[in-house]
Amino acid sequence: MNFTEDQILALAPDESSKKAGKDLANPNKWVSKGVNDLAIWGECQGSGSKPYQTQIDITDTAFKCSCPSRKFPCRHGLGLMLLYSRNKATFTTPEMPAWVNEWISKRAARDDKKTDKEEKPVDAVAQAKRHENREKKVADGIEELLLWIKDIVRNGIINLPEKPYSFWEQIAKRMIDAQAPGLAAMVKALGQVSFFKDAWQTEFLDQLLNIYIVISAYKNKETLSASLVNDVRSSIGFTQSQEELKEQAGLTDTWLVLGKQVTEDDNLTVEKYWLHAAGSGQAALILQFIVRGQGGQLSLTPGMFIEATLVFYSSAMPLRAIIKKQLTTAAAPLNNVFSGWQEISETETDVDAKLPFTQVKPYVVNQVTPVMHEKSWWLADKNNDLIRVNENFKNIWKLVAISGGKPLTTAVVGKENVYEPIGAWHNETYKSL
Amino acid sequence: MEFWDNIIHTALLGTDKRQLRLQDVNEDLAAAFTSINESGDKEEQYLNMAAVAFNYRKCGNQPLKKNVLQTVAEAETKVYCSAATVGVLNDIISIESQSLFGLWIKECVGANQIIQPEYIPLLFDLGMKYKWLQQEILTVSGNRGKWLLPFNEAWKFDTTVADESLWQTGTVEQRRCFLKELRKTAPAKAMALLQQTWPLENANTKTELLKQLKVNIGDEDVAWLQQLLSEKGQKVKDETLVLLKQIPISNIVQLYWSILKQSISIRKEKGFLGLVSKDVIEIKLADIEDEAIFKTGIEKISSEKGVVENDFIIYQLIAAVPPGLLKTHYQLSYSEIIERFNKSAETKYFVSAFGIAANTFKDVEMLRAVLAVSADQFYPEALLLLPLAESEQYAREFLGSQQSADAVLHYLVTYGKQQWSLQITIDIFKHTAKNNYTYNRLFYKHNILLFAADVLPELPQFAPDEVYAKEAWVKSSGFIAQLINLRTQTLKAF
Repeated sequence: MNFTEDQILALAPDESSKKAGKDLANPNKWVSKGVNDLAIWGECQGSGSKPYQTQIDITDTAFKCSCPSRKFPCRHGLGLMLLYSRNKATFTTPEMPAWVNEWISKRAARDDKKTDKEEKPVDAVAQAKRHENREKKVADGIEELLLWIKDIVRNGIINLPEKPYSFWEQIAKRMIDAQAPGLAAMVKALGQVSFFKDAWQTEFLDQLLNIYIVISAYKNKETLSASLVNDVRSSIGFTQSQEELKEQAGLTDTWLVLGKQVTEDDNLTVEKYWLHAAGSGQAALILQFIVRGQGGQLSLTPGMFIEATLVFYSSAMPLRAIIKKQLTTAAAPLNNVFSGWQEISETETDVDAKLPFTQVKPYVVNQVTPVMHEKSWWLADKNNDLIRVNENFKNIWKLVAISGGKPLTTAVVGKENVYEPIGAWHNETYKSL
Repeated sequence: MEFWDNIIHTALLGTDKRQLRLQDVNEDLAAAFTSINESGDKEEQYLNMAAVAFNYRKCGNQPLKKNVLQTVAEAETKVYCSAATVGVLNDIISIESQSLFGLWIKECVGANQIIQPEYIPLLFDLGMKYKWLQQEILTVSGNRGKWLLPFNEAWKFDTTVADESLWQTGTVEQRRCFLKELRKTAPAKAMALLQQTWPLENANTKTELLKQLKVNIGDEDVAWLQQLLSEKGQKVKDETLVLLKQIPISNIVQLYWSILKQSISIRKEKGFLGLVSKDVIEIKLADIEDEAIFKTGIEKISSEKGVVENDFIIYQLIAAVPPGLLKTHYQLSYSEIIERFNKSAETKYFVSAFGIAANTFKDVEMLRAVLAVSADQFYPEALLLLPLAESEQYAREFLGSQQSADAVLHYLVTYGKQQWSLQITIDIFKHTAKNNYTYNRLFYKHNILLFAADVLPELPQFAPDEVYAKEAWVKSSGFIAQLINLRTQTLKAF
């Protein structure tokens, strides 16, 4: 395990955990510690009489600790990992104590057990009835939403910035009642458009049309391909069974975690991990939803390479995936990076033609330079093609500093003509932004 | 994209007021427009057309073609600091200790190393917070930092090189700083520069610049400074007087001395049948012919109750005259002078005035004589004037007392320039451990560079008996240990 401090700290669930983890990266806090090919472990003396037992499965980067914290990873896990990255030589014990051995063995046995799990008998009639009811509810909800959209179009959008929060909230709640949470989120996003910005009209209309395309597609689903119907249904809020997905073979490759984006809404934290397959060049999006007070199960950090099998959700342009099997691995050279913006533009056109309501996507683009043009930052490729950097991108100065005016192979997330850098290669090392 | 502007324009007004027309869309979209307008209501027609136009816009998106010239940072000539060293810096930044941050930056400068480019923006942001470190931050940022700085208007770093041209062209603040630095290393040159431009300066600038002459003030400055007493501006005259009062040969000090020596007489008187003799001090304010001295800062009435007017004037004169003049005039050592003044209740009042004079004229010997008889009064100046070990010993005498400890500690940290000994660090922590509300993390963060490193194993023993205070100290001492470790790591890292 060769994580940098920045990578380890990127695993922290919040700022206070980072701080506490750093405090615990102190040899004096650890009563015992050890490492072997499978795990890192240590006993941390807390305020209680018994030290906390902290362990990290290094084959697929998983944490366990006997402390009562509900954060994941907890500060002890982060502290132990930081301490190991700083002072590997002080981890001299290779024999796993019983409590580590037990956990590691259980993890190894877990996957086998899963396959052995007996499937519960399904009441097919009841299930069909439930599905039918839901489809009807969704269809009714969509009719209401369409009326609401038409009202907006009829009256004009000029006065929308003055609308109260409840204007958006009410229709979003109606979509929840109609069991269409995807549409609810899309409608909610309409109310979150930056109405104070000059170009809010385009931002608003883009989102409104995305909703309109999804509901129109749903109404005409009989004419669409099965994979596109799945995209439409996913956008509306129908889920695909992860258990069923895991039955599929998936795509095995060495994946680089390009970046992690976190958004918080009420009690839900959504973590987006952008991945790029070193061999095939396939992009992937792994989502992790964390309800407040609960820990997430994924421990991916930008710049980390994993040898993994990913199964993609059924889609006309597969992007969202789940990790079926994962092992931490060494860095690998990346294939299939984009030569410049023109190639990305062509790819985007292809994607939009197949999936007209797509969201942002990640790309790794070869040798682009951050340049200042008309008081904004752009990324210029070797053909002098320029794409604007998202003006809300916070780490532009870090990227400019790393570049020093020279081109860098850069990972970006975005669409159309605005992208946000999420990482760049500098001196052959991937730097997360 | 005129077609898209028309789509937006229609959306703004609403389909009740405006509907899309064939001429609103371009040639590529015309067929779609005709087909869409064959059915549905006008809102549906608009939404269908807008959806097609939206997809058409996205699919036709092209990057901007523009050759934007970008400068390239010069290659670095210095070596980068190690990843472990940057780790220490990250820890320092996360606990927000400006003292440790300053130490790290200065050590990095001293080691002739630079920081990795990705950390430069963070350092520049901190440079806006800790302005006094801007030059050093720029140094550790190397050529990449020099290249990056002008891009961001929020990084307002003073990059002016402090050379003589700055004296002619700089702002008042830049000139003030330049003169201050020059005065430390080349006092005569600083004085000559100031004299050159003096007629061109306004009163406020004159006052500011004069203040910088306090360092290395000496006899050679007297002649010019005395001329300045005829300046028009009162502020300039006041500042000149402040300077002249620090020079023993100046007219003002000599005037004070001439009045003082006429006001104090120390003579021997025979007693007990002429077998023994004793010193008698007579203090009586001499006639002051020129009332002008009362315009030089000498006050007539004390703010202290019960102090006689003439005694107060003499007190101020003693405080404004070099102790060496009294020593020579009365042929007595400092100890003898202080002993005589300290003998009677009437003359004891004047002892502290000698302490002030000792501080003004940096007379350590006189200060020691005053301290020897002033066990119950704390002289903060002693911490500045006495050698480190002696000043610490002096401070420790007062740190044990709950009444004076806070004041002593205040002066210790204010004047502290170098690391304290273990002994005084222990005394200080004994006091701060008992007063965790006053001495919180902020105090330890700010003064970390002063604490002795070998105090670490001693920390648990300072825990107070009260349960709450004890718990608070456990946390504080953990934090102190963290700070000391970071300081040690910083010093080892370079």
